Amino acid sequence: MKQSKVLRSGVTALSLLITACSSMPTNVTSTPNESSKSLGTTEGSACGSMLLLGTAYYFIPVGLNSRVETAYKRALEKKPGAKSLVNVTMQENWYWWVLGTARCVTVKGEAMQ
Amino acid sequence: MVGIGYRALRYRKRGGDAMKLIKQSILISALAALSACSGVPAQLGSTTTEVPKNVDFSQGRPINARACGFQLLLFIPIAVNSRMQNANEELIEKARGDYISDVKVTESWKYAVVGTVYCTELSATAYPRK
Repeated sequence: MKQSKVLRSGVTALSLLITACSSMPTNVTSTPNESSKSLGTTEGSACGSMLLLGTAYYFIPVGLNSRVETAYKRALEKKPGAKSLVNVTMQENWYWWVLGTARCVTVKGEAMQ
Repeated sequence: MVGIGYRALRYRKRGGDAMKLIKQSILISALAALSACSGVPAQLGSTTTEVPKNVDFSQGRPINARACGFQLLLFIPIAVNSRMQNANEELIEKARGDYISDVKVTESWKYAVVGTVYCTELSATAYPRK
């Protein structure tokens, strides 16, 4: 009886911990400086999903909180030597895939050296 | 269609209602069609690839904006797709014509039993024009 109460409290505490979350702030645009040189347009995407616990309730994030940061890093990686982006456009798409909802972020911009 | 018809026939043999099965198939197809969406693209920060000469970079001030949307029952978006654009419009408004740079994006979400609240927060530095 006592064990079940402890287990229930543990599950509730864990649920509360995972049911709200925030990503780290990701710097997606910078001010160009005198020495910066354009390397051309680049683009990066990253997806994350909210997975299920039961049929109607989804609250387990998988890659969801880091998707902006990952998309930005991927955009920079496509242009070797790129240090930042300017003229940045950001877009998010989402789709439902029964076991969860996926959200994808695309960061497009001009890579600067 | 042949597959659905065949399944419908077998379903009837088992005592089910073929019309009910067809209605369910239509409902599932409609839900699947509705359950994917693209957000509105947002142009973040001022657009320039060169150092702007008419901006005073010694007088930057922090600005921020936030917009939220609600995903009801997993696949009904309420202001979810436009939240990036809404946050960006608020940021531009707060800049009052100043040069916007160093835009930082923070995404957050909160479980709300019948859905999920998604929020986008933009913080940046606004530099006045000379």
